[in-house]
Amino acid sequence: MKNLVFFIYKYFVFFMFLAFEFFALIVLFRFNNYQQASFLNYTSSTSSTIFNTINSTTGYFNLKTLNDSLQLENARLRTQSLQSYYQNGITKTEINDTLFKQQYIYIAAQVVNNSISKRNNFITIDKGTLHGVKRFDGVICPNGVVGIVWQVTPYYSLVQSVLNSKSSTGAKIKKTGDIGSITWDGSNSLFAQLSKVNTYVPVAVGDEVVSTAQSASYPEEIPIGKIVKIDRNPEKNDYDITILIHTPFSRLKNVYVVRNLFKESQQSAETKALEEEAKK
Amino acid sequence: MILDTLNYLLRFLLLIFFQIAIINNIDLSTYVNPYIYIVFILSLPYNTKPWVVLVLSLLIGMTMDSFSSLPGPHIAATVLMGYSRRFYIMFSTNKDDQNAPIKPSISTKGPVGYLIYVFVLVFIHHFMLFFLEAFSFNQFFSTIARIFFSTLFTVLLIIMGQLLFYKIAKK
Repeated sequence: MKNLVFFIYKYFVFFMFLAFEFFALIVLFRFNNYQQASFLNYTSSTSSTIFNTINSTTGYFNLKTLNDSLQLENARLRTQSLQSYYQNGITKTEINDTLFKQQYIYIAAQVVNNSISKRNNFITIDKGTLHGVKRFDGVICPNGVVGIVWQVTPYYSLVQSVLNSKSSTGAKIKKTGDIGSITWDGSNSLFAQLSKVNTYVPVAVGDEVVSTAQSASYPEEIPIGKIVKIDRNPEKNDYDITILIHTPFSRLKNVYVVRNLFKESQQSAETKALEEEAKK
Repeated sequence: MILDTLNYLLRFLLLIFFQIAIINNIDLSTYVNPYIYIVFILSLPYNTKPWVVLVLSLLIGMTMDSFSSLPGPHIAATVLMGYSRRFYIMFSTNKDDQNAPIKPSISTKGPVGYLIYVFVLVFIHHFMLFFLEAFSFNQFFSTIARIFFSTLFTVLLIIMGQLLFYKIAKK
């Protein structure tokens, strides 16, 4: 017993070191498998207040660019609105609720914390469950897609950015409509990779890549990027495409959370089909 | 004693603030992520008790982690660095210095000695941190490149800070 006490006393610092490392790894593994409660729950109150303070100070620096991009977006939306279409012949705009049903709602949010230079980047935004944000909702900005809501708390949400090794965004080539998937290799925050596009698809440098509604997180045709480089992957019979991302991740400020009101029904239909397939 | 504690507390807060408000917002490249807050542990006096170094490492790591979206990497990396520091000091300085309240700096260790000291410990810290952050051995070489360039920048920033404050202290 005496020896044991002496042993522990002698290697006290070593045991302390082991305990601390063990603690760190447990915390890391626990939160890395995202099924557990979000880490954001524990830290959001203090760290987000500090980030908010920092942001409200630095927010003034890029007000001009922000205003410009919002104005551009407004102009684009005005062009799309019903009033800007000339109505030919007899007016027949009857509002019929069975024809038009709202599918997407947009929740405006501000970026509180953002990183672009890590391997796995996350963005914290200042809207949460109280504002109607749900897990796996898409997040977009005036220029393009941003990411998927990964964790929600009452006032804040954590968004898995496109610049994350775990994110895989469904995308399509605008011109041809062919589907692929966007991933990020971690080397440059301006470029992402588009894979799973078959070699028979006529792709060209300069083609626009947009989102697809198949993933149920984003609406159709939200811009993602532009093709800058095409390599052929001889083993898998598909292309390795590099795209220039339109979203300015380094100065992201105003974003929208996209809530797809039909998502649950889309997904339940898909799972039902899968279950029936499994029964056969 | 109280003044010393206050001094360290102030330094702790300033370094954390400097790290999250300024350094983390400089996006040079995805390969360059300097973390200078660890200079807090690096500049503790030689005769600081090893367990105090470990507890301080844990505290500063936890503070940094609470500002990131994934907890753990900073704690693990800083605690590992705090633990290794003892062995590096045992190896690089004589017995008398080890028990004296001398702070490792350019003036006490000499430029080359200090540079190697900072480089080795920053490398240990960054090695642990970036691998835990990537959380996989996929793209092993890109993580290695990230560790290497970030270490260079962190060391550069620490040396620059040292030169700045050393000059002020001399006057």
